[in-house]
Amino acid sequence: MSYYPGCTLKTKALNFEASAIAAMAALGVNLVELPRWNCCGTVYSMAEDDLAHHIAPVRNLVRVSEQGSGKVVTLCSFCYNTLKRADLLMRNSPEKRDAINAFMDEEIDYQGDVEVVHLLEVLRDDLGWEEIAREVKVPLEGLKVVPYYGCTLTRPQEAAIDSVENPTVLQELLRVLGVTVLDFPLATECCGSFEIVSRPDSVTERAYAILGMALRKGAEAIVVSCPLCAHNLGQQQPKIAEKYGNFPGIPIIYFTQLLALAVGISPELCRFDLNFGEVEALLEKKGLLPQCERSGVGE
Amino acid sequence: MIKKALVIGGGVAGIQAALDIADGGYQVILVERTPSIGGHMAQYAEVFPTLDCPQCILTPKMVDVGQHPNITLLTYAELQRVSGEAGNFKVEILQKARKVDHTKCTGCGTCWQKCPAKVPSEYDAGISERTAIYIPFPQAVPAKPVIDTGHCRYIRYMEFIEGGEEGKKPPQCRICEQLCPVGAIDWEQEDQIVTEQVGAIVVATGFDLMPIERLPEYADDPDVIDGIQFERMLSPGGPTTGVVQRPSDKQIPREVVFVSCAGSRDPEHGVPHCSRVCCMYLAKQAMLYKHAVPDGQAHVFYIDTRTTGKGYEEFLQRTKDEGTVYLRGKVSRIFRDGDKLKVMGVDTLSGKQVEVSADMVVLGMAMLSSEGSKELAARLGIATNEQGFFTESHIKIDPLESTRPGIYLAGTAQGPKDIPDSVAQGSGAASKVLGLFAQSESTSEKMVVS
Amino acid sequence: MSVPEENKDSSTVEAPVAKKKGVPEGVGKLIPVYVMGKRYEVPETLTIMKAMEYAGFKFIRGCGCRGGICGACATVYRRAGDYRLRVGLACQTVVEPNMYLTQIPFYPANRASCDFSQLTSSPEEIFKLYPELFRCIACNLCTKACPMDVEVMDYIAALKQGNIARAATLSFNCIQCGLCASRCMGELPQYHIAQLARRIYGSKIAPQAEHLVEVAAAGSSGKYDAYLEALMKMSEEELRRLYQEREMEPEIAPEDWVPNNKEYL
Repeated sequence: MSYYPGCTLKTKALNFEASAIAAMAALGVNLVELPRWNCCGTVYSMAEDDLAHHIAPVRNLVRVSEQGSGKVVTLCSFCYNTLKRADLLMRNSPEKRDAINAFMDEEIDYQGDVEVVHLLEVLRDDLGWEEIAREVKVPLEGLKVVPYYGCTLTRPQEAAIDSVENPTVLQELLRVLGVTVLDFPLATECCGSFEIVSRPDSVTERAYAILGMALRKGAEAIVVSCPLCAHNLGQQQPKIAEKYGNFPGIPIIYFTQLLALAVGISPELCRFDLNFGEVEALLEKKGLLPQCERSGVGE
Repeated sequence: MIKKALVIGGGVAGIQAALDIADGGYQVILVERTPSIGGHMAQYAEVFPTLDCPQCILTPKMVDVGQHPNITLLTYAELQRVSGEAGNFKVEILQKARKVDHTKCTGCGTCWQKCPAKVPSEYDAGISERTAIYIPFPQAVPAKPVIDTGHCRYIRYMEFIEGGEEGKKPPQCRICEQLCPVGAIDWEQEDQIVTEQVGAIVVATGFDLMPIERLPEYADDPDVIDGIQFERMLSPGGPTTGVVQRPSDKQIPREVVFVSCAGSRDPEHGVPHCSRVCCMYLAKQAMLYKHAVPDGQAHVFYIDTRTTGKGYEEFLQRTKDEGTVYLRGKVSRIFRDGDKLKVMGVDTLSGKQVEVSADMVVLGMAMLSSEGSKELAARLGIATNEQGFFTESHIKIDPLESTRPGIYLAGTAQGPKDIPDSVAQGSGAASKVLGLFAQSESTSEKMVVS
Repeated sequence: MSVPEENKDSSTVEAPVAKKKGVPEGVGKLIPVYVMGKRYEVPETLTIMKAMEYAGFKFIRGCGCRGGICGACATVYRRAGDYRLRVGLACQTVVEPNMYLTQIPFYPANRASCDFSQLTSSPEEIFKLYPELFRCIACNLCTKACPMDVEVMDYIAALKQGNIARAATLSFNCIQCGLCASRCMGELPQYHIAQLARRIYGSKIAPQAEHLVEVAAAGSSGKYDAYLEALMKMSEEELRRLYQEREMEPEIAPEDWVPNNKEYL
C-alpha cells in the first residue's frame, strides 16, 4: 500500500513511523513509501483562490497516480487532512483543477482518482477489528488510557474519518488490543497549538483542561494519532506544572506503538525513547512488555 | 361542489379552523391521529407572553369541537387516500381500532387506573409513564380511552397463543375488561376505513421537535432535556406537580442552562431555518424556573433574541430583570463531570470562553414538521420543502393555499410559528374554505404560483 | 556592399550595413535584441553573452568560464509581448528575436553566517540557519530554472525530511548561479542551503577516507616539517633542478610502484 510519511515522521516522530511500519507488516500490509514525495504543506490553505499552496499536496497525489496504486495511507493527521482536502478540491472544482494541472506542466495531470485514507481507516475498513483481534499476541490488559483525536481527523465533515462530534474508531481499536479505554468527553477538543506564538497562555490552559481531565478520569496515558498533538501536549506539561502546580504529568503514546506491542513487535522497534513521558516504565509496571521478540519483518 | 370540509390535525390551528368552518354553517370532519385533540399546546405549562395556562384557554375550544353539531370528530384516525379535485374530493380515513366501544364507555377511568402495563407517556414527552389503556391527559377530548395494542398484555398474550410461540406464556390480564362497569372493552373491534366526500381539506398537522440524539455533542445524559419535557416538569398538572426535579436523581437543580438554537440555524449539523419560538419559550421557561426555584440561577446561551410579537420584547426584558443571565454564544459541548454537567460555551460580547457547571440543561431543539408529513404530502399530492413543512402556493401573498387547489394549510405544518399565529392561520384557512364553498360551481384549476 | 533590401518581415535584415571590425563577412541573419531598452541588431546564432559583446558591451562582471560551468553569468530576460520572465546562463542561451535583456552583477540571496566548526550533523542546524526552508511550497520553479538540471525541489524536500545525505548527493552539480533563488516563490536561497548541506555532509556525515585521515594526521604532527624547511632554504636553481629531475609515476604502472628515491616518502 502506498504510504505517505510526511516530514515530521522522518524527523521528530520516528517512533510513530517505526511502530506503524512494523505493526502493519505483522498484519500483512506492506507500507511502501511513496518515491519522490515532498512536504504536503501541513495546513490546508483555506483561502479560496490560494492555488499556490495547493500545489504541494496535489503533487504528492500525482506521485501516487504515477505509482498506479490509487490509494495512499498517511499516519500524521495533518498530512491526512491536507492531502484529503486537496484531493476533494481537485475533484469538486474543475476550474481549480485545470489551473493547478496547467501550472504543474512537468507532471501528469491529476484528475482526482486517488483515495486518501488514514491508517485508522485502513485498520477499521480494510482489515477489520476481528482480524486484528486474531493477530493480538500480547493483550494490553490493565492499561488505562484516554483517546485524543486532535482537530484534523474529524474536521471538516467532508474529510472526517468518523463522526465529527463523537468519533469512536480509536477507542474501538484500543479495545480490540485489550486496552481499557476510559470515557473522555474532551477527545476532540482543541489543544490550542495554533496559538502557541500569539497566545501561549491560552495554549497552556487548553492543554491543562485536556490533560487535567484525563488524569481525573484515571488515565495512565493519553493515546494520540498526530505528531503535533504529541508535541503540544508533551511540551506543555512542564509549563502546566509550573503554572498550576499539582500536576504529575501523563505520558503520551502513539496508537501505532500500542498496536505494534500488541501484535508482538519488540519494544525497541517502537522507539519509546522518543516519546514524552516514561512510557516504557509504565508498560513494564503493567507487565505488558513481551517476553519474546518479533521483528515484524516477514515471519 | 360538496360543501363539507376535512381538517387534518387536531392541534390549536386545526381546532380553530374546524370551529370557524363549522360556525360558518358547514359540516367539518376533524381527523386526529392521537387519541385526543389538543396537540402540543396542551402539553405546555404556561404560555408567553401572558403566562396563561394553555389547557385553560384551549380546553373550551376543545369542548366546543367535541360538542359542535357541525363537527364530526375522528380521533385515533389517519388519512389514507385522497382523490378528486377542489370541491369534490373523495377521502379514505383509517379509524384505528380503539378496542373500546365509545358508545358504551362513560369515561369513568377505572380501567386506566388499574391497568398494569407501563409505557413512556407521549404526552409527558417520555418523563413519566402511562398505561396501555389510557387517555393521554385528563382534559382529553374525547375523554374516553384507547388501548395501545402494541403494549397491551392481553393482546400480547393472544399473539403468543395464536402464533404458537415457544417459551414462557405472558400473563392474560384483561383487568380492564373485568373492571369496566359497562362492558365497553371490545377485543373484536377492527380498524375501519371511513370514506367521505369533502369539498376542501385543511392540513394542520403541526410540528415535532428534533430529537436530542441528532446532536451527539450535547451528551446522551438524562439531565439534558428538551423544551417540551421541561414544560411537563414545570406544569402543575404534570408528573412532578410543577416541582422542578432533574431526571437523574430527582434533586432540585440550582443551576440550569438553556441552549437556544439547538439544531436550528445550522445547515451543517441540523436545519438551516430558525424555529421562531424558542427564544420566547426559553425565556419563559427561565422565568418559570426562577419562580419555582427562587434561589436558582438560569443561564441562556443565545445567538439572537427573536421577540417579534406583541409584548414579547417586554417579556424578555422582564426575564433578564428577574435574574436570568443571557450569554451570547453557542454551546460547543455538554458532558457529565461527576455530579454536574459541564456546559462549554462562549460569551462573544466579552470575547471569553465560558464554562458553566450546571445541574440540568434544557435544549431549545429545532422545530421540524410533524413526523410523517412527507408521506402525508405524498398522499395528498401536495409539496413540502426539504424539512417537511408544507409548501404554500405563494409564500408572501398566498401562504395558506397549498400547491393543490382546495387543500389549505394552517399552523406549524406550514412553518414554525407561535400559538397566536397558528390560531390566526386556522381562521384564515377556514375563511379560504368558506370562500370556496361560496362559489356556486366547482372552480377551474387555479394557477399555482411557485 | 549591397544596399539592404526592404523586408516585409521587420525582424530580420539580410546583411550587415557596415562592416564591423574583426567580424567576418556573411555572419548570417541579424535579429533585433533590446539591451536595457535600446535596440541592437545581432547575429541570430550568437549566445546572449556573445551578442552583447557584438553590440559593443564589455563584461567586467557576470562573466566567467564562458563554458556553462561556473555560474557567473546568470541572466534574466523577456520576450516581446510575453509577460513571463525567463532565466538562463548568458554564455549558453542563444538569442531570440526581440529578446529584452538586462544584466545585474549577481542574483542576490540571503546567506546565513555561522561558525561551521560549532555545527553538528543534525538537520536541526540547517533548520535553525535557514528557517525559510519551510516556506517551500513545492512549486518546482527552481528545478525548471536550473541550467544544470539539478533536482532542486527534491533536495529541498530531502532537507525538510532531515535527509542531508540525499540533499548533498542531489545537489552535487550545482554551479551556484543563483537562478533557482531568482524564481523561488518562498524566497529560499536554495543554492546556499545546498552548499551548507554538502559541507555538513562532507565534513561531519560522510565516512572519512582512512588514508586521508592518516596523511592529514601525519602532516599536522610535523612529519613533513623538515622537508618543507629544507625546500624553503633552497635556491632557485636547486629547486629548478629538483623539479626537472623529479620521478613521476608512469602512465601505466603496477599497483605497487614506488619511486627509487624514497627520501621524501
